[in-house]
Amino acid sequence: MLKHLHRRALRMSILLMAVFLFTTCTQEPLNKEADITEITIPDMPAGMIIGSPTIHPSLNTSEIVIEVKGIYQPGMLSPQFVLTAGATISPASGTTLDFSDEKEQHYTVTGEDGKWKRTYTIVVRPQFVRSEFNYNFDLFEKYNENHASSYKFDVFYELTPTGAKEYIWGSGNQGFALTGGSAAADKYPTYATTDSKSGTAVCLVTRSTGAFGALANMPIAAGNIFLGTFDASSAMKDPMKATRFGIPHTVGEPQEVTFWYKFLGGSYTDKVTGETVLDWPSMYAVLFEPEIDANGNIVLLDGLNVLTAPNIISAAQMKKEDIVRSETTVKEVGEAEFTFASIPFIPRREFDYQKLINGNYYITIVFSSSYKGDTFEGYVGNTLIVDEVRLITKTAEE
Amino acid sequence: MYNTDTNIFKTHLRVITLLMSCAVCVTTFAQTQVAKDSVPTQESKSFYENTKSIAETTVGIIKSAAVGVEYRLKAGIAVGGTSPLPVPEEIRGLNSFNPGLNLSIEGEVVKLFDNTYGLAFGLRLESKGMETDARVKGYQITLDQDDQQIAGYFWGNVKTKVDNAYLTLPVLAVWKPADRWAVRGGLYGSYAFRRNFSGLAYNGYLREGDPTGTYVEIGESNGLYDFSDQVRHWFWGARVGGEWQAFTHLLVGADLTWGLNSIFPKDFEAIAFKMFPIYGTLSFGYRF
Repeated sequence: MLKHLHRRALRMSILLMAVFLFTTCTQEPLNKEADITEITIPDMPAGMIIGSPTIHPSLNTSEIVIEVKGIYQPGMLSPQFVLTAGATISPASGTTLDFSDEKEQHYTVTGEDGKWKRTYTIVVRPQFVRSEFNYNFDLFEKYNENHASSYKFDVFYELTPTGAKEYIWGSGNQGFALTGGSAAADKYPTYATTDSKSGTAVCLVTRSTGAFGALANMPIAAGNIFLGTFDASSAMKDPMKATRFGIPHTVGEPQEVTFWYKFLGGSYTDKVTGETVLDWPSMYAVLFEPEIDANGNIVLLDGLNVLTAPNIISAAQMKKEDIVRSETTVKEVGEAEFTFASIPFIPRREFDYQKLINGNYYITIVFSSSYKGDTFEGYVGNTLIVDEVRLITKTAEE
Repeated sequence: MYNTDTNIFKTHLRVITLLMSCAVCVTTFAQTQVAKDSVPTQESKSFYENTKSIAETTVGIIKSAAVGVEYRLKAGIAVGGTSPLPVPEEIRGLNSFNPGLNLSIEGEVVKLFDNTYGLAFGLRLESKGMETDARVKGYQITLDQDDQQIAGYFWGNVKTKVDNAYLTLPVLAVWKPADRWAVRGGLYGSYAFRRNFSGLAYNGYLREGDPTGTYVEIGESNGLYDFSDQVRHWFWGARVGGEWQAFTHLLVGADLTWGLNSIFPKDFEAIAFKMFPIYGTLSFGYRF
C-alpha cells in the first residue's frame, strides 16, 4: 500500500514537472490528416485539363473527376500528387495507370501518424458537351451511398451518354448536415419528392438551423438547388461563399428558362425594419464569364455576387409579382397545383459565340425556398417544389 | 454560457468575499494587538519584546497543548489549473493563461495527541477556476449548443474557462517538527455546488467525425462548447502543505491540492482526456 502510494507520488511529481515544461518540451504530434491537396498529370498534353492544369480537389470529396477536353482520349497516365504533410499514397505518386474509357483508379492516402486513411477514386473524363438542357430531378442518391459518411440526404445527379453520374447540382444540404446530420432525407432543406410533374421533383424547404445557426446569425437555411457545387468548408465561417455557382456552358446562347413549380409560404419579421413581410422563393439563371485567378483557377460566382458580378453576360430572374402563392387556396403543399413558368434571359453584356465555343462561359440555374435565404431571413416552412427545368438556347445560325 | 456569470455565481462570490473580509479583519486585528502590546520603551526594547512575545507564545502553546484542541478560521487565495495529465501532444502551447481569483474560507479543528502529532479536520468553501487559450493541432473536440453537437478534430485555438466552487472536507495528519511549524498532509472530499466548464474553438478548422471527415473552417465566434452540466459533483484528492505560526493567533500556510478524479465522469466522451484540478493555496488563519 505504502509502496503504491510512493509510486503514485513519484508519478505525480513527474507529471507536475510535465505541466510546467510542456509548452517547450512536448513533441509535435504526427499529422493525422490524409488528403490529396494537388494533382498534376505531366504526361498529359498541355491544355487538355478543363480549368487550371494543377487540380486542387475539394477536401470534402473522395471522388475526383478530372475533366478533360472532348477531343482528348485519355490512356495510360501518371498522375502526381501533393498530400497533407507527411502523408503517403498508394499506388505511389507518379505510378502509370490506365485511365482510358473513364476507368476508375483507386488510391489510398495514409496520414503521417498511420492511423487515418482516405480512399480516393479518380476518373479522367472527356467533357460531355450537353446540347439539350432538360433537368427532371428524377435521378438522386443518398449522400452516404457514395461517401464514407452517415448522412442520408438526397444528392441529385445527371447522366452522361456513357452512363457516368454527373454531380452538377449543388445544395446546402452538406452544410445543414453539420448540425442536423442524423436527420432523415426529407428533414433536410433540399430533398426529392414524388409530389411532382413527372417522376420525382426537388422539394426545397426553409429550415431552422437551431442553436449553432442562431449563434452564427444564420438562424435559417433555405432549401436550395443550383448548377454548381457546395463547398462545406466555408459553411460555418463564411456561408455566402459556400455556394459555388456555375458549370461550363459551351452550346447555344441561353434564351429562357422554363420549369414547373408550386409554392406554399409564410411571412417573417424583417431584421432591419421590424415589419412583417411575406417570404418568397427565388428562381433565376445566370450566364457569366468567370475570371481566372493568379493560379490559373476559374473563379466561380458565389452567394455574394451571383446576381451583381460585372462579368455576368445575361441573367433571367423570376419577378416576385409573377410568382403564384398557393396558400390562399390550399393548406398543404400536396394539394397545390403546379404552375408553369418561363423567364427570359436579359442581356447585360454582349454575347460572343467564339467565347462560347472556347469554353469561356459558365451558367447556373438557382432555386431557393426563401428569396432572402442568402442573408438568413425567411419563413421557416416556406416550401418550393420544382420539376422539369428546361434551358432554351439558340445557336448562331438561328 | 461562456463569459457570462450567473446570478448564483455572484451570490456565492459575495458570500465568499464577505467571509474573506471578516477573516482578514480578524487576522489584522490580532496582528495589531500583538504589535501594540509589544511597543516597548526605548531602553528596554529588545529585552521587553523578546520576553513578552516569547511568554505570550509559550502561554498560547501551553494552553492549546493542555486542551489538545484548537479552532482556526482561515482565508486563502489559490492559483492553479485544471489540466489534462499528462498534457497531450495535441496541445501545442498557450496563448494565454489567467488563473483568476480563487478564494477560500475554511473553519478548522486541530486535535493534537501530543505536542508533535495530530489530526486536522476542516470545512472549506472554495472556488477553483482558470481561463486558458491554447494552440491545438488535431485536438478532439465536441462543439455543442443546446441539443446540437458537432464532434471532430480541431486545428486552431481553443479557449477554456473552468470555474467551479466546492464545499470541501479535508482530513489531514499533522506533524509538528518545531513549535511554530507544522507539516500537514491528507485527503479531501469535495462537492461542487457551482460548475462551469465552457469555451470556444476559434480561428481554425474542424474535421468532422475523424481527421479524414468533412473539412469545416471555424471563424471567430461560432465554435462554442459548454459542458458545465457534465462536470462531476463529487471530487476527491490529496492535500499537502505547511503551516507557520507567525504570532499567537496568526497562522500562515501553504497547501497543494491535487485532484485524483477527473472533473468529468468516466462515460463522458466529448473531451478525449481526463482533467484534474491542481491548485496551490496561500492562506492566513486566525487561531482562537
